[in-house]
Amino acid sequence: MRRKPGTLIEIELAIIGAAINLQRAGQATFHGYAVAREIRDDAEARRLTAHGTLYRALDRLEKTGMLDSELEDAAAAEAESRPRRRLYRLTAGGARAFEAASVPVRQVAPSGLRDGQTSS
Amino acid sequence: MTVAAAPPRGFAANLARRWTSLYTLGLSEPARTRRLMEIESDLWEHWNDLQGDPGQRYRFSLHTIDRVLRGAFADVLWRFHAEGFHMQLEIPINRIAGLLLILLIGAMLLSISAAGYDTSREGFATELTRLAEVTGWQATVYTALQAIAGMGMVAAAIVFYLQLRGVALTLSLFAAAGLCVAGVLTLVGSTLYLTAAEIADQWAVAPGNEEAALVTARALLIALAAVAPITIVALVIGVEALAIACARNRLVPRWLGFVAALAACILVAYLAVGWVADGLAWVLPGVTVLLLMVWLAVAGSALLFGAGGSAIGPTPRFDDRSPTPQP
Repeated sequence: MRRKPGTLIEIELAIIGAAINLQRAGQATFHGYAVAREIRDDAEARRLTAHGTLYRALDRLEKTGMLDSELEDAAAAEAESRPRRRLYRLTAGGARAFEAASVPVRQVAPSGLRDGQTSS
Repeated sequence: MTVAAAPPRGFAANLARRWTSLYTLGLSEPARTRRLMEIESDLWEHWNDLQGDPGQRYRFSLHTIDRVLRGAFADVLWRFHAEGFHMQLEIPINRIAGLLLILLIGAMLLSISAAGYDTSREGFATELTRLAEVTGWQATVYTALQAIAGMGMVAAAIVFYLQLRGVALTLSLFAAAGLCVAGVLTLVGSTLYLTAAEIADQWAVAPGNEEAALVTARALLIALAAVAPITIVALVIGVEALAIACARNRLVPRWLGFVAALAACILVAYLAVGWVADGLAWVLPGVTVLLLMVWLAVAGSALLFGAGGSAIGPTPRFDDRSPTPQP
């Protein structure tokens, strides 16, 4: 069944929520594993989001303009002797869609913003 | 300063990598590379996130296998949503065809080598003794090889038909029909040979009903001897059709056309007059088969080791759907 354009499903809400949390923690960009860990920690779950579920949802969010991404600079990865990361960034459209979805704030906000407080 | 860490190794990491390679197979190169890089990066970050944990290896393996398995269905959905069933694979059709042609040499030898027993009534007991000297496992191995050769010819017939029908429909039909008939006859021949060998074996061990065994075994070997020339003719038709199709589409060296033409002429000469001269009974078909083997060897090598086997280039391919160039 096709969904209405602009609506978000649970995993997409979780990803955008995690992206907002990471942004607030000072990370404007994030890679796939970082968002999987953030979702796990935020939900106090034990398991990380599955590869297929995570990257499929990231791909979908990027295609619908809620995230954008770029491959990080090769030199940065080389300096740390690790594979290059694909860095995602939450777009204004993604943030708006998230707000419109009216997710209970306590589900995604850091501890300082729980219990009905809203972020400004 | 970040301490450099080795990339994660072991079963779980390799499972994730292999699975990603598998479901991205046939995707466009950028999409495939992107997903492979993302998974590689994810594995690295995950592994390093567990640095300092005494159960790092165990946790990493467990979590990774769990993530791969739970996400497998989504991976497949993503793959087909990304580019559908379209597969951008570089299958080296020419090289596969070349290999098949070379393998056909062995199949040809096996398919016509079963005949060769003297089936005349006088002295057939000696011939049956000769057949009985072939041990059980030798007969089984030989029959198995013949069966493989027969099935291989049928498979080759299907492959060549599918690959050549776009450029030469009639020739591909002839090639497929010839190879298919030769393959089926080889299977029939292998059954006849095995049965005759079994009868000979029993006859040699316990010669009870001698006359019945001799008559049955002789009938089987006569049938085998009759199958052999038909197999040769079918093979010649199949290979000749392949030769013409390859020559017209410039898939093999041009001079090979003369080899194939000479083989055809000799066979026609044999069919026209050869049967009247006993001495030529096997010489002319033998020369025909030899020439066709030369054609198969050279044409097969040209396709197998030549340029343009896997890359799209100026060399025409077996599956090229472009109009047939005239010689």
